[in-house]
Amino acid sequence: MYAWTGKILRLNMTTKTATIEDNKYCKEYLGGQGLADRIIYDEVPTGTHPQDDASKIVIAAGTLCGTGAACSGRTSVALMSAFTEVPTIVDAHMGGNMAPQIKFSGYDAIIVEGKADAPTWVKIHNDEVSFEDASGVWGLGTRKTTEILNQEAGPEYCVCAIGPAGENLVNDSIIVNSMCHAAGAGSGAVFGSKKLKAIVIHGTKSVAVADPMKTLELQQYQLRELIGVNNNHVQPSNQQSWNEFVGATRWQGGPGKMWGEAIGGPLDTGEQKPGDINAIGMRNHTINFFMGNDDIAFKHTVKTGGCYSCPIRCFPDLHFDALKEYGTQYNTATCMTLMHTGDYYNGHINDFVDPGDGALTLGSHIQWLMDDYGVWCGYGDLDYTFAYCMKNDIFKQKLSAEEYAEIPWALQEAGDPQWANEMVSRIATKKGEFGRVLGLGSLWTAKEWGFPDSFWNEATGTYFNFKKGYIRHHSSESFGQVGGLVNIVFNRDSMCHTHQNCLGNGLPYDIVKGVLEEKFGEGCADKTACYTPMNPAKAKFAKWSIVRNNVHDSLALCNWVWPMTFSPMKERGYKGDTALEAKLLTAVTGEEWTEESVDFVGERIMQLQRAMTALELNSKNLRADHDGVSDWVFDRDPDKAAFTEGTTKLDRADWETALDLYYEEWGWDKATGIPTRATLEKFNLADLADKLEAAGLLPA
Amino acid sequence: MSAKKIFDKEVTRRQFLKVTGKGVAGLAASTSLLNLFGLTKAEAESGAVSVMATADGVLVANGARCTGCQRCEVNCTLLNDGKAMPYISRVKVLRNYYHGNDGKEGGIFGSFDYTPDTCHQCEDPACLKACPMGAISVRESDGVRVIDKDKCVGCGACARACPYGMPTIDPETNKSTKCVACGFCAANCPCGALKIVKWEDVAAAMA
Repeated sequence: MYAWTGKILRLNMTTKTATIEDNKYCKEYLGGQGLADRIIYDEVPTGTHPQDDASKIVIAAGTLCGTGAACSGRTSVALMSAFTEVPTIVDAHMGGNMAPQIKFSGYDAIIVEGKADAPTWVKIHNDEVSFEDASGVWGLGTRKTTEILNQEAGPEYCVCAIGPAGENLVNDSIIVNSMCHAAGAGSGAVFGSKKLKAIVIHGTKSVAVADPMKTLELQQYQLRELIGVNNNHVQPSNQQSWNEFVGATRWQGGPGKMWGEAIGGPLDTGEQKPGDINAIGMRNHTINFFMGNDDIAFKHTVKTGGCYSCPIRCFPDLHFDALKEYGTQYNTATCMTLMHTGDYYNGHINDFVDPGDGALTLGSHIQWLMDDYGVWCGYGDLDYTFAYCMKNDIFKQKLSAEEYAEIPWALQEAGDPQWANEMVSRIATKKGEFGRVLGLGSLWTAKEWGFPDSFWNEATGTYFNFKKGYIRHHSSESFGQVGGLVNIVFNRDSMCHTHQNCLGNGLPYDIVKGVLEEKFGEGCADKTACYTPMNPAKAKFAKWSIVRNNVHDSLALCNWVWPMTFSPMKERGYKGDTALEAKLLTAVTGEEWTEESVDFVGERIMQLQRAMTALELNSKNLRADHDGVSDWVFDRDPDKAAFTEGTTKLDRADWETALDLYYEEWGWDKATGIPTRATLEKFNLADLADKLEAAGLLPA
Repeated sequence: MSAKKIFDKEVTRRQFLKVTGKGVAGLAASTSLLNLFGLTKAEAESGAVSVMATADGVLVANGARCTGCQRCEVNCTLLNDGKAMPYISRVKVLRNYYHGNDGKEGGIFGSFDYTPDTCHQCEDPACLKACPMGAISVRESDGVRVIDKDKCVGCGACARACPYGMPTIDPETNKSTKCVACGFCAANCPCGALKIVKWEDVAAAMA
């Protein structure tokens, strides 16, 4: 068998046994997210809490993982959620090196089930699997754990570990590999409930590739002609010798843009002309894009990093002398926590060494601690909740006087790094009500502390989904209804970047519009803050964004770079190649795949998740029970009407039309947003239709 | 390739080895060579750079630019073995990636200092001498040390003899894999951390 290993490794923590089984879902679900979701559906009873005995977690590699495809190092994880009202199917994803080692060990996925009676780590080397005593590393952070387990197993092993947050069953917890590559959604607590401290894995097998030369040829085509940087921004933020446009993009590298703390002295990232494969990795600097401030992030950059097999190095490897005394001086991460320092410090940020270096330095310190303690930020959910509590004096109101007095707020006011240690460690160890409640996730924090509906509704533009416990991820601010519709289907923040990657990529709007309209029809892509009423082309664009996201998470390619919708090359009219996934899949498997056939699998995965969600919510009407949107979406900018220039607000009646058209595209019942039997059967999901029908949830 | 050309290469190679001695310290004195290799003086002196005099040219591995994507490893085996199998790659990064080349201070869990290991194409190859089957020889056309797959029995003597731990026995074929200086890793390194500089250019820079 090419590309797939055709095998799944099952780890039973109760019996401490490992079994190798056949993967019967290769072609139907591809791998990664699709495979992991299907296994959860097959094996975990609806309603199972993620930390229950019956709960399982699936860690899956994609079909293209290990084949050398660009950006194919991502790991898909499927589990049940604890941060939502009821347990629902959620995906979590991490980069780094875990998935390729699963593949090179001879597996497409690992299923973890049961519960060990004592702390355990699992060592995997190809077919050799052993359950080891983890009592010596239980309680340690992910970094020290990695260091110790690498000494035990070998320096080349990938350690995927939990920190104290996972051990203490914190809803907002992660599993993390390769220092900073984390899958969130409470995956750490699932490991913790199973007393699984870490999976430590190294494989020495091959991944068979049907046509190696074609695979290499396609990769070179992509690297020379199609790929840009993170978010597939395809034009630099600076003028180089070749670029027609300069944009506010994550393509921050260029002549004179230096890795300031490079080994051997400052290193000029240099000219990065499309076609020059050897300069691709010098292009990206995401956090410099966000921080700006006279290239402060470049100044602290040693080099860049990122995931296995990815030429886009979106993780800056940063160094801060000022953090040496805290042991956090070397850190790497992309964005989020790194740029939300102000939230955690309530604006108390001071310079460390250079003017304006406070936010980045402190942000890096917090990020380091979050990854080490294994706390999940929920794409900023924790940051926003914390900031809301500070702003509204919630801690003073809800904590006991003793606990409030005991928390060293003076450290926060002083902008002292030690504040972050206090805050993160309290959450990871559930210390006091402060620690326990903040780690529950925004929905349960809001419930426990009685937040008013304005927490979700006010025009902070944070929570697109009303009272769901997960925040917007490129929602209505990204192509209006398109981003909004993208944000309603999952049970966590929508980690879909397909649409977002078309926005702010450095190309003028007219070029972006032209390429997208060719694909989806006229009027599919409004200019930002110049929105127009809903139309069928927007529904097609939104649906494709989700479908292709699922394809990527199953192959598994990074949806923060893929698809190749655009190109940096003027000679191509800046048009990319959205058939490249199918071409690569054909080359590595030796089977004929087309854009349509890979998208069919991507759609199947959404149909599966949607039906699972209806079952989990026991909902006859997902339109009402799941897809609700917060008021700010329609009420922001009160002085402006929707569909006028200068606002990203949407219109309530138009949103109902948007849902109608979107559901129609998916083959979902318009009134309830639940897949019809015909739709489910089209995707070979008749078993889901039967189950929905038996539960009285299938649309008439 | 003519005998004259090989002779020229050998002269250049020897001259180059004189300049660099056992390491790259000597390189720092030659601005023209530094420019040719795309290195700064400080980089050459930092310990993050290795230069290997291969038959085809000088293989420069610059740890300051290596960002750990490991594409070199998989590209090596796709091209040379027709499968994706980093374990048998002739260039090795993963083993240095987490905790550095010395396994202590560097790597992504340390100071981010790590460098890809490459075949040295040794003047006096321990792998060749150790092979009991005479499977490793010097290719006449370009001087590269190559493995005759028909003679190799996968005993692992070469892997044990190499002071740099570079040859690897492919457990699926039971044959040794060794760098043949094809340059594909360097041609596809996304950060230019690996580079093969042709002897002709080295000769010009040293002239």
